[in-house]
Amino acid sequence: MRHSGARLPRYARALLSVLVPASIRDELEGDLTERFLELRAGRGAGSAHGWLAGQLMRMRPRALSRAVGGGAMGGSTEWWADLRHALRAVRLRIGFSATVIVTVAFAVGATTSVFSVVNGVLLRPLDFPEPDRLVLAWQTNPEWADHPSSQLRAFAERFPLSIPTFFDWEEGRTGFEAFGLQSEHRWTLQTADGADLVRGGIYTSGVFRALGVAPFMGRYLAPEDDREGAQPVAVLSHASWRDRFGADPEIVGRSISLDGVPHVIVGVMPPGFTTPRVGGEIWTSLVDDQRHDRGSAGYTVLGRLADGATVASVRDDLDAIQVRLGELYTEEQRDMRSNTQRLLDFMVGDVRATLFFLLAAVGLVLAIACVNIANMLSVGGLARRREMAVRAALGASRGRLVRALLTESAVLAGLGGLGGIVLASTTLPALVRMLPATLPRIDSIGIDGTVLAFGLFVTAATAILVGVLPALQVARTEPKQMMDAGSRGLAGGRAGRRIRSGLVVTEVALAFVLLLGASLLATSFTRLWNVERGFYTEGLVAMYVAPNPVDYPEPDDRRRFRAELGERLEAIPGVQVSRTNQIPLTGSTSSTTYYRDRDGEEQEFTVMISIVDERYLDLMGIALVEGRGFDGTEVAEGPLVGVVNQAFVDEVLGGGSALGERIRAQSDEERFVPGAEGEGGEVVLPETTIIGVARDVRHQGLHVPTEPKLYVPVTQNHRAADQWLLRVQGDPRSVMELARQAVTSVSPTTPVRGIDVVEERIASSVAVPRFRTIFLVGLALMATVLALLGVYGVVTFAVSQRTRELAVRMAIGAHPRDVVAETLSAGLRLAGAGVLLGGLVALWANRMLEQFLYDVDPTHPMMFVLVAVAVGVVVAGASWLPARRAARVDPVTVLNAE
Amino acid sequence: MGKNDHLGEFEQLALLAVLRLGERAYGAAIQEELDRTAGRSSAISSIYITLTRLEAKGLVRSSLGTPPGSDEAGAEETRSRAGKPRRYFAIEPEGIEALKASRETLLSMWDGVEHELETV
Repeated sequence: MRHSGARLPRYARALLSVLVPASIRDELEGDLTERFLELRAGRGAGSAHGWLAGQLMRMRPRALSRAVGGGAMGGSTEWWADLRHALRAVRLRIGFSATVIVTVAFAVGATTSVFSVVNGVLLRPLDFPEPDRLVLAWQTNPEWADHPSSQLRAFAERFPLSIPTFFDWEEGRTGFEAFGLQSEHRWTLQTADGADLVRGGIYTSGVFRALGVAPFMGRYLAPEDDREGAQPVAVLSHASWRDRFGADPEIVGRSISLDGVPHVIVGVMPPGFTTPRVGGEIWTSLVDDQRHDRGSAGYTVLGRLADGATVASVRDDLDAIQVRLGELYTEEQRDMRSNTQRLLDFMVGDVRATLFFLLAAVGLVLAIACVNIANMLSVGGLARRREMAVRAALGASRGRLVRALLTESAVLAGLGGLGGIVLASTTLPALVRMLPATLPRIDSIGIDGTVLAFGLFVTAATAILVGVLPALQVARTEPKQMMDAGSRGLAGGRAGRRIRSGLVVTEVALAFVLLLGASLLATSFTRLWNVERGFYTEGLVAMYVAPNPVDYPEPDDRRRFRAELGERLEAIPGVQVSRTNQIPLTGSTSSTTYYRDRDGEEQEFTVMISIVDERYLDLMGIALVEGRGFDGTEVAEGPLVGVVNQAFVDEVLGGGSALGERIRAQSDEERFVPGAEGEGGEVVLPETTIIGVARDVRHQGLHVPTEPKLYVPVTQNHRAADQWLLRVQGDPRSVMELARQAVTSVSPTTPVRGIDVVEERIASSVAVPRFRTIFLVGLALMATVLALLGVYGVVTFAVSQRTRELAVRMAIGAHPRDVVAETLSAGLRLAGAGVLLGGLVALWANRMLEQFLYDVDPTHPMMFVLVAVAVGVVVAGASWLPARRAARVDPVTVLNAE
Repeated sequence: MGKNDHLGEFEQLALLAVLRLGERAYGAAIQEELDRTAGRSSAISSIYITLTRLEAKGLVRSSLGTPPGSDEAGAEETRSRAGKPRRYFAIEPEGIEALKASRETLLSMWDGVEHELETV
């Protein structure tokens, strides 16, 4: 008959064991259990827990132990009495208590939420056995670190491997328990009713062994699948097996067609499993076509460290192999070294700084909240000095009073903290939705034991921080002084005032730091977003369609496909169409080395290559600075022509006119074909003539300065240009479905690989900075409100303390205006000190911000001044109300009351 | 019982509840009875404190597990209490006396004033 829920909650049992003498504990617990379970069944868990809490609160341990004759229960009853007393005090001043509790709840809730993101993304181990031993490896070329091409600079630390290089590594490697190759991939999967795009990766078997997760069904890749000429095989994700193959129990052994190549399914991985970095739903063995190509480098290595090996030791081992390879293959492997990194470090590398920054910022807000509450409690304690005096007179020691106050602030902070944790867990899904979708490991964000422990820790720290000050005030006051319940006394003296002013100065300083940071980020983001892009994005839709290789095997077939698709797209009313290989600001770049003659010598340079049709520049709104664009007359057999950008003119040519300049994709050495003996030879490969100069366009990112670029016509380049651009009048979303239909009407077996509104893609490329900015602005506003409340509280209190003095002064002729001015200036003095302190802190703290700023100097004096003025206005506003109240003091009333 | 040992109000209520419940008088049942009949939401600890004190004075007796004076084991075992025993209370003749005395006191005090209350 027993079931797990048929007893009291653990917290209740724990409390009972402390509060109830052993001689009657069992039967009493039984009684509580009986009624608790009844209530829970009858009126729901909420009201049952409420009832139980009431019963526990009214436990009266001392009376119980006296009644059963068990003697005193030791120290536990005393703290219980303190707790009961504190709860009563909290209830009696419900408005004050609620303010404190809500403030703590927001601060702890915000901190815990941010921590749960940090925990999920950075701290939680990956879902693999011993994930710390998983490492990634790449090649590197240290020489590229200072290369003018941003693409090569990016490759300097992590350059992908070719398959032959991997097998060389595999042969010579030490220090790895398992070791494999991986690369992201997309295929067209033939289905019963056409074709579908599937995402996944290409692997060697070592990756699966390194990950160490057993398959759900069948097997994962095995060493025999890595061999040349082996039957291509595929492993499915659990979700793919369920959704795409109807959870077919006979799936293992079936064959599927990926890009027209039959793959045998050998296994299904367990639910929740995904391959790190690559993900997707299908993971296949190596295809043969690049197996011997040292020039095709597109793979990353993932391995598991052997016992005793470290990230650094395996890097040294791989470096030794690279040195050997460099001697063997001077062309591809010269100067190449290796690089290794822990998998988790690589996955979170980019966002680590941002997340810790946000955690620090939210920590500041928490600190401000603590300062505020400490202040409130300190002022609140004043209102109770009579109570303290009476308790002292009745014989309570100072220690006892201090403990009672500490318990009270602990109760307030505890209730607030619990509220905060509840708040964090209920609002977390909303917060996660706000996070940029590009954030790694977003799925592992949640409330777990670590987050709870953190929340409790923050709560405890808050309790101590806010409780110490009021307790100290009591501890430092002589009992006799407490009895003096006049206008001064407990915490009302000069020392108390100084402490509270100090707290407000701190609070203003912290708020200043946050406000300044938020202003810098906001300015930076505005400048970034409004940077001159060089093209128009309004109404622009990008669509990526690669013709299905099964139906369009030959270049001529693909040309036909593109021509036909172009016609269908143009038939959509109100749509202009163009085609290219890469769209600015949406992620892909392609660079090449080019050459030209400069003063008789050969100049080598890197340019970004944009393959475009004749409508591209016009459709994108990229203006020509000089010369002309393409007009459709460029043919494959004709002279090669190109258009360059302004950066090309400035950086490659060093200014002047570019028209008529000739550049070539091969060095003279490569172009030169030796003739018969004694007859010299000739240069055969053609040069490209520059016919126009276009304005600069931001390509790699809004924040990346434009690099030299060469536009070449699609008709004169063999590479695929399958990015379609549609310029739409009105809502770009309206044509997306029509564009899809156009693709299907040309080829039902060719899936659309991606279709987006360009503006949205650009927005998502700056999602992290935008999130950072919005988040910090929100925190800064919260901090400002808290600081405002703090100043208001302190000035109000100061005024209330001086009511008599002000009344006397006004009675003997002081003008209300003077009183207002005096009160305002007291507030502004606090603000001034706070801004000064905050400014100093910001000079130091903003260095942390520097890496997030675009085109903004974190020490710009103007920014400091503007934020200081803003803080001044806020503080003046907060002091204004109490100042006016001070000026309206009626001397007669006040003095009569005395 | 000495002259000064008046029953307090809660003591009276607790004793009456024990009396009303007869053989089924244990903590949870007494609490429920006070809830239902007297309209009192009482703390379980108060019930134990009071009845234990009265037991020390000899007004009630208690025993674990089975209702005192009965051979039946656990009258209503269907009610779940996580395997914990019940402490059954039963009233002693001295308890009855004390209740009677309290009632007498109250009735004589009420005598003649009920009419006053009606008219107010």
